[in-house]
Amino acid sequence: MNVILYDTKGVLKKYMASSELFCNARTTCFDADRRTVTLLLHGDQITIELLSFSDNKEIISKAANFLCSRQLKSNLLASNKIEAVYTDTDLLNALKMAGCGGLQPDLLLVYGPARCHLGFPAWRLRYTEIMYMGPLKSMKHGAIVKAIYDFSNRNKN
Amino acid sequence: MFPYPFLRCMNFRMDKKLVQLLPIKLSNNIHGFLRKFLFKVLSFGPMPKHIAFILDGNRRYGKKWNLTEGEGHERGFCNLMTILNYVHEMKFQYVTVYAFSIDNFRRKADEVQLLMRLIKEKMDALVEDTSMADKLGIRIEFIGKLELLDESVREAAKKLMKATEKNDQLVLLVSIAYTSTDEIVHGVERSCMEVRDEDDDDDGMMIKLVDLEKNMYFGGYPDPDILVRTSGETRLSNFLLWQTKGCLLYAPLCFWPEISMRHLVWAVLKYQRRFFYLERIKKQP
Repeated sequence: MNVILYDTKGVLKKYMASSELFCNARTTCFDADRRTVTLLLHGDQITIELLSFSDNKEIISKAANFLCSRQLKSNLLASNKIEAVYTDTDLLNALKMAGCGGLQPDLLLVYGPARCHLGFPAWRLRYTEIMYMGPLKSMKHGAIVKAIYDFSNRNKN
Repeated sequence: MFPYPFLRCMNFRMDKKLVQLLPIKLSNNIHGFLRKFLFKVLSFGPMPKHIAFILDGNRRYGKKWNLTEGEGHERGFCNLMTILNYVHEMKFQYVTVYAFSIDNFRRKADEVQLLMRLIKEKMDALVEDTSMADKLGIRIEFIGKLELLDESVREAAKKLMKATEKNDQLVLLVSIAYTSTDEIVHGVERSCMEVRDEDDDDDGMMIKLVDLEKNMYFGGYPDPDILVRTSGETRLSNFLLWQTKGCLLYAPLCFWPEISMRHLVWAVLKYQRRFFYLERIKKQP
């Protein structure tokens, strides 16, 4: 199971890595940039990815620069200038190289004062169901279970 | 026999048709007055400048009311004209509608043809009679990968953009053959071409964020303040993913041909309630 935790300012990235939940070496495994952590909880493997607003537009800008520099190098080698024609797949591969080409979530639960996706990475939000859950202090286990139940019923229909 | 005693008392002879129309005209005038009064009251709070609509539910509306194929979309178009009237009265500056997605080309061929024929008919009708667009001061722009459309539809779109280019009260951005991911790719392509043509030897960040945004289809237009998707669906379906960071998402349960003034007013009230929070989100770097 994959879970993404997103906040605009990157507070989760700064502090979650040192939190007690993730300090148990037997069940926790961080990746190289400490942005994804794999946990073993009650025998199930859960991958948690920590994202912030800097993983949205800036990463796409980096991916664009990667594609552009590759294009310029191929233009140097070729005799004629080749037109830059890219597809969604080219940009997706460039995003993976830049470090933000993960899976697209099926369901996004939004906590906050307003129903708004707060700049969640655009490339991963294409067909995601966005459910507004209310203020952060109303985050309860029952509400999350109900949201997942409503989502699964909607998909069945 | 006059149905209205006061008219009989006045011994006023009127045309029967006019008498039948009188209550309709009167109620339209009263409704118009109350509507403008309501919008005036709303305008005391912060008003959004740009509203976007995903026109979802036309086919389901047609099935619900047992309409013929395409009639659901016709009714949806009529309702769009009504909503544009309301949006104009509320003094919005930009309206964006998601008319046709690149993913919609994967539908059945006859359905795609029907939709393209309907879109072209409406474009031709608006080019022939621009009175409604001129009365509301609407400038129409078509946004998207227009080269995917038929030549005839593309030409009709160009004619309509030319016919309304002098209007300046409200800009209607019609997203046709559009997806947000295609828009981002288009921005990257154009930015790469600019860098290639500049021939700069600097190895740093050649493409900056402002260059990407400037080269996108929606470059130069402000981000939407409210995004309305009808039919109660809560997905964005690859629409305005880049531009909706601080945008209020509103998903009324009605189908597009059923959306009315009260949904619009409710959306504006919700926006006004969270205005300062949304502005803070938009301004965050």
